[in-house]
This record gives sequence, structure tokens and C-alpha cells, in this order.
Amino acid sequence: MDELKEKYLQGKMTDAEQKAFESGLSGLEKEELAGELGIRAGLESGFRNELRKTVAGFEHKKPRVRKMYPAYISVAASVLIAASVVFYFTTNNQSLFDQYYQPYPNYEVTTLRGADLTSREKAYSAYDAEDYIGALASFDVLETLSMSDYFFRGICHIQLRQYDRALNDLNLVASGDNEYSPAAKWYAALIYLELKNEAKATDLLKSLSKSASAFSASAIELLDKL
Amino acid sequence: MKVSFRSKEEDIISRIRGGDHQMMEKVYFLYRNEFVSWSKGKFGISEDDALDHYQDTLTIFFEKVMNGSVTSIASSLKTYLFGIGKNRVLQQFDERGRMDRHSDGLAEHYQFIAEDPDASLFFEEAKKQTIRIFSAIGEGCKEILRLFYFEKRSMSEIAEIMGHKSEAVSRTTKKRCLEKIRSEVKEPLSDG
Repeated sequence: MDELKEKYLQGKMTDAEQKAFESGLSGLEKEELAGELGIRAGLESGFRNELRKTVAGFEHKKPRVRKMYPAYISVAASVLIAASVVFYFTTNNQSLFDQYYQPYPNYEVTTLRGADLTSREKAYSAYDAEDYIGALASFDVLETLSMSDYFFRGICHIQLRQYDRALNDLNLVASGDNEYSPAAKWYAALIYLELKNEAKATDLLKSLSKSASAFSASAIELLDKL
Repeated sequence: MKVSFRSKEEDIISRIRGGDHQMMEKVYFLYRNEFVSWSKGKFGISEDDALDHYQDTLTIFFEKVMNGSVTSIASSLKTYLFGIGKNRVLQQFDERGRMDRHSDGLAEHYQFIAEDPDASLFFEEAKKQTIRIFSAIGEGCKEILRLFYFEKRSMSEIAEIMGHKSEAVSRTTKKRCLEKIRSEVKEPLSDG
């Protein structure tokens, strides 16, 4: 009986077994089992509340600027806010590129330290550590790159002032319909501004300004400055 | 070597199941801002409510991963989380269903609790008493009970995690811990 009872309490019976088991229970046995289940429900509830507190606690550990939120809209918003702050607190001697540019934070791949990392993990780990040469070396040995890989490799190239290579990667990402397309257009537009190719920058910014992306407001703002 | 987005999600799930709090924190910030803006815009709720629903959503997701009921996701992680979140928000309009609503699954699974008023009373009272004494449960007991009842781990896994010599040691330890709780919960029940 104890074995059956435990199987029942653990919810491991089939529907038919459970029905048969319940039909044989006396009122007293039902009360006993209900009390037992209540303890388990109370424990689950206690552990759930602890987990909920842990989750709420994350709110107080907001990531540093370099590790902002990755969902492209929120990350983009953060990038743009930071860029705006920079804009207001710097002189007008800076180029528009310098005023608006900052590297995109990685939340694409969790980075770790250790010897057993894949090349992709090594690439993002190096990116997080601001080792853009190392990141490129790891990206370049990947047999297949995803759109996010092309995007972050593009940012590495920007960091190293390799604008042509950056444009190759970013334009590829921008031409598709993927999570990183709007961000890729934004960074490509900034590069074109830096390269004094205002026509191409304008095209990209106009496209962004009409989009529903988080970059539209800043694209409009930047267009006003051209 | 082909690396897909799928492997990223599987990696996330496997690390959370392994108790990686750093990964949980990373996932938390992954869609936090986007979810808050989206739910505010879509449902016209306040920022505080949106954040509250996001935290509920993540708690549900983490719990499902920890207890092994979610081992992979057919859609993207974002779609999955927003799906849970949307339901949480809609429940708000229904009634103010807090996290505990989720735990009533146990009562739903055992129909007799809902059908029998005496059983229902015993269930609710035992649950209430257990919640009351929860914070006083010793860390060792709490850990083994968490692994068994919350994470649904097998005794062999528990023995390995807890560093017990055998499953039998884990089983005895768990039984002893449960007995202790039972003894504290029993009295008010028999009084009732």
C-alpha cells in the first residue's frame, strides 16, 4: 500500500490507475492524502516564492553599460540613449560617427572562460573582453556564420577601423530580414558618415526612419543634422 | 562547424537546469526591456505591473526548466517567454492571479481534493502550515526537499548532488526531513 501511495502522491499513476486507487479510498485516507499533498503543495509554493525572490533580485543587479540588454530593440534603445548622452556632453568638434557610435553589447552567446570553448564561444568571449582582434580570429575559423555572427564580426571590424570589411558584414545582415537588420543598417549608416558617403548614409537612415525599429527616432534625429 | 540558434537555447536550458544563476540573470535581462515596453503598449498596463508580469514569467520558465518539464523549446526563447507573459497579463484582467495560482496544478491533478470538502480543508490547511514553517526548515533539509519536490530529481541524482554515499542515504534523509515537517503540520490538522 505504501508503495502504491507513494506512486500516487508522486503523480506517477496512469489516469486509470489513479481513478481505481481513489475509488478505493476511505474518507479518512482521503483526508490523510490531502494533508500529505498539502505539505507538498506548501513546499512547492515555498520554493517557488524563493525562486521568485531570486528573479526579482536580478532587477537590482542591472548589467553595466557594456553589457546592456540584448533584445535588439532594448539594446538599440540603450545604445541610442548612451549616444545621446555622449552627444549632449561633448563638443561639436566630434564627428557624427563619434557622437553616435558605441559597440553593440553581446547577449547573443553567453561567454565563459575555460579551455573547452568552441570557436564561436571564444569569439564572443573575446568580444565581451573587448579583444576584437581575438574575436575576429575566432569568427574567421567558423565554417558557417549565422547573421548574428556576421553582425558582431562587423562590429569588431568597426572597432579596428576596418570599415570596408565592416560594411561587407553589416550590409549582408542589413539586406535580410532578421533580428539584427535594423542595427546593422544603423551601424552601416554611421560608417558611411565617417567615410563621407552621405548619400548612402542618408538612404539607410531614411529606411530606418520609416521602420518600426528602435532606431527610427535616432535616424530621424541624425538625418536632421545632415 | 555549424552553430545554430537552437543550440544556443538548448545550452541556456541545460545551464539553468544545472543551477547556473549567472545564466538565469542573463536570460532575465535578455528580454526585460522589450517585454516591459511591449506589454505596456499592448495591454495598457503600468510599468510596475509589466515588470511584475515579466518576473512571474521568468519564474515560471525557470521552474519548468528546473523541474525538467521543459527540456527544449520548439519556438524561439523570445516567442516562448512572450507567450507565457501574455497569458500572465491576461490573467490580470481575469482576476489578480499571483504566482500561487500556478501551484494549484497539484490540486487540479487530484480531483478528489476539489470534490471532497473535508479533503479540500485538509489540503489547504496543510499547505498553509507548511508555507508558515517553510523559512524555519534547515538548509540541509530544504536542499534535499527542493531537489526532490521542486526539481523532481531522482534519488540517484540527489545522492550525487548532495554527495551522499548511496541513494538509500538520500532516501532516509528526505524521509526524516519530511517527517519533521509532518510533525509540525500534523497538530493543527488533528485539531481541526
